[in-house]
Amino acid sequence: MSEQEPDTSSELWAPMGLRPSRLALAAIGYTTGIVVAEACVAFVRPDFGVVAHALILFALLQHHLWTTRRPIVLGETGRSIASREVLVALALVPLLRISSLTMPLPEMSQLHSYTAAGAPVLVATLLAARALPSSDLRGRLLRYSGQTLIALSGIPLGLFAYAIARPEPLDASVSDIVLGSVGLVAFSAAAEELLFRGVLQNALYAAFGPVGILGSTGLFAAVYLGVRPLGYAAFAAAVGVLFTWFAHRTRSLLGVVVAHALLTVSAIVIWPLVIG
Amino acid sequence: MTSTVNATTQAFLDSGIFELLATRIDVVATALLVILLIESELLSAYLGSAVAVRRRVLGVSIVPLLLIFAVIVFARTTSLR
Repeated sequence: MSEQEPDTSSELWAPMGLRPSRLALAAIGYTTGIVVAEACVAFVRPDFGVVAHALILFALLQHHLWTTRRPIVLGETGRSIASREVLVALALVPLLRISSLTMPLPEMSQLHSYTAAGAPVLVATLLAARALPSSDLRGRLLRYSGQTLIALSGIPLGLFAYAIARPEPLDASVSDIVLGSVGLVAFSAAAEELLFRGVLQNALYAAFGPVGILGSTGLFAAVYLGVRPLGYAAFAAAVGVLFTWFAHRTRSLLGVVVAHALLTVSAIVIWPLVIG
Repeated sequence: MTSTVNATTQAFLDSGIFELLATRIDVVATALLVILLIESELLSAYLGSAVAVRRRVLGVSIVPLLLIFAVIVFARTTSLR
């Protein structure tokens, strides 16, 4: 396209918050690929899905290395720099699935499996946050104004979650339950929130505007395709929309992290023991 | 009931073909780790200090994959006893 020609494609994409750059199209492609790989893990065969995830992860890292082969030039917009960061943030989702299918072992208890599978995810998310300073996880975790009600929303949501999934009461000692619950809070609830609301949502919004938020919510729903009953996946998607909105409106992660922790621990540990 | 441990992972662990599929998945994760480690070393060898940012980005995947690799090795070693 010559410089004199009007960039009509920009006008078409602008209302959706997207720029018609190759990176935007690539991000859509990668996101679609991740959703397909998740569907493959949940409905076809886990090993096929993991191969797809590994290929996507490798492609995302190579793409990022390719885009950073030249230094950031003067005049490059913040959004185009943010588009590069999306590639790193998206890489966390394939890592989550690879970890979830390699870390839990048959002899591990269910509660310890959450810690084992979530530890690499939390480590990767913290490293990504360090590599992408714009995610500002620390600042957003320390912003506690107006977070009490958001945090408390985890209690009724946990009851809903229990009513839908009806998990069996845990057959474990008190010390195991306490340790497992701590693992559940740190390596499942916090790791998921820091990944999806902290790093991914932030990177996608900075690059693509409101459409980016839809993308992060869609990916959050996609990683829940493997839960049963499938009604719980729909519930998780709705909770993802709610938490995304909370995090975006308040620019804080504290409320959603606590809410997710209360939801998970009450649905898996507390309600099955009290009601079940 | 979470994105990492759910019905799919549980069914996978309980399945009769767990050993076969787990081996394949472990090989994929380990191969990916080896490729990324080689890439990281090549980057620092040929481009020197200019690649600090890129190596940091590769580290986002390498460090968790190293953790996963350590667990795979531990599990395989203990299963030999």
